[in-house]
Amino acid sequence: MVEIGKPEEEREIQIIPREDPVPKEQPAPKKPAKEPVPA
Amino acid sequence: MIWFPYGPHPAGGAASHPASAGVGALSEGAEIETLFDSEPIEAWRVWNLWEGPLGPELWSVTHPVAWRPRRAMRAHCVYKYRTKTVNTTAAAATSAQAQHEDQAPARGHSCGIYALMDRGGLKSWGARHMHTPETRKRGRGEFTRVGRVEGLVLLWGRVIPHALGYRAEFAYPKEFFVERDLADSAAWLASAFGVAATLYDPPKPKPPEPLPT
Repeated sequence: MVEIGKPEEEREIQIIPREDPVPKEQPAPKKPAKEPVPA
Repeated sequence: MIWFPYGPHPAGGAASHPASAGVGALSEGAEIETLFDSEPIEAWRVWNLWEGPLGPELWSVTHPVAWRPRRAMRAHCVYKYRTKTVNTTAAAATSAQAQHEDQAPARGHSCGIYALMDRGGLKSWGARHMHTPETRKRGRGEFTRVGRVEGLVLLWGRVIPHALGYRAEFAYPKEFFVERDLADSAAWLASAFGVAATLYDPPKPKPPEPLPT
């Protein structure tokens, strides 16, 4: 256990972030459309 | 649009938060500083990087808990689970810690996700646990310890400030600092977690002082 010292007396914070701090998964790059095969 | 981790936005502010009642709640007259639409707190942590059967994994140094990519870490009171899964004594089961069923961190407990205000304090973090075997059997197979990773972490939700750091309810890495020898691991951390991973040269140990002649 790491030493973080004594808690501040009677103080607590509720942080509601503006945005989700977790980065979103990057969408997989779209595959290029297949070129039509010449008949 | 405010992103809110507890579901609908509480019309009543802090009073609607689940942590505002129960064993871990503040006493009457205590101050709860609610920061809506705010930035998370930044602080310092250390992790262990293990190589497992499915690839690399980031684990807590002091607890057998993995930090998953793209998922916020949420604190739970360990004592709550110990009373259910471990054959504890009756005294322990009825102690104040064992009765804690509210959100972690709770006042008067040691639960929560720990982080330090100052990077300098990381040197001693988990030093006792660094001497564990280099390989370890877990449920999914054998894991090999790759090394130690330092980093900045974002903290939000319920946060209890301490003199040297914080105990928080939610956390996610913001940036990793990885020794240059572990460049491959740094690349994986950056890609998997979607954050920066900076390489650094660890300070070289001082050579021993020559003995007086």
